[in-house]
Amino acid sequence: MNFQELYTLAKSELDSITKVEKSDIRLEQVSFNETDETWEVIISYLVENNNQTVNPLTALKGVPPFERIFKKVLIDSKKGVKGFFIYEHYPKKWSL
Amino acid sequence: MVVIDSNSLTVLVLGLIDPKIINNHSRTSIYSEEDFRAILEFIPDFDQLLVLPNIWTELDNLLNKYSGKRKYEYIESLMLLTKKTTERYIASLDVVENPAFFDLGLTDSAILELAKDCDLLITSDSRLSDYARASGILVYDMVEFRNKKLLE
Repeated sequence: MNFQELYTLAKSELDSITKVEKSDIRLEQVSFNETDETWEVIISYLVENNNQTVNPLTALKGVPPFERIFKKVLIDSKKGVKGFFIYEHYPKKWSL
Repeated sequence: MVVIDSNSLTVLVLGLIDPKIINNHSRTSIYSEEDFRAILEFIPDFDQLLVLPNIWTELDNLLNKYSGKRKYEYIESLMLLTKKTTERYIASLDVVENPAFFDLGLTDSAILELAKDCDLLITSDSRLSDYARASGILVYDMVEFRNKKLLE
């Protein structure tokens, strides 16, 4: 599968699960697990940050008025979505 | 001056070693030689590139796991870049009080602080890019570029 197919599958799964209005949906990272022949796809998107404290100084401090959410989607070699998970962006996972 | 984040610097170093290995790593899996060439276009001269010590550490933690020929190539590239680029230190104390620290962590908050005095930030971290743009910093966002290419 190429990145475009993986992006489309992950995005359609995201659209079916969450009805929250989102924008700037991005493919962030892709890896293939050869043991169980599964693609691990990380996507991100922006949502309005409803939990942010309303503070007139916030804008001056350079805090975006929206929040970027990361999700991990597991896709098998038959293009079936096997899992949809919360993905913690930090701490960054550094591995070869 | 141009400031660069860990992941983008990894693409740069891997590209210098061999552009074909850029997508072999999970953190740089979506990138290719085209992205490496694009980074080079934004850096007129390596002495215009600012790198934090934190970034070198993150890069070395990832790439110093090589062995044999690749390790030699990695060390050679690292020697070249550390000689030619400019290293800048930002005290952790100066960034932990920044509201961005909660979301970005120490290294990216320091990059954000440094980028405020630079002409350009090169990043492949979408969240750092969001924060930088909210602070009025000019950004070359590698994830954005790659996704635009993906949807063409």
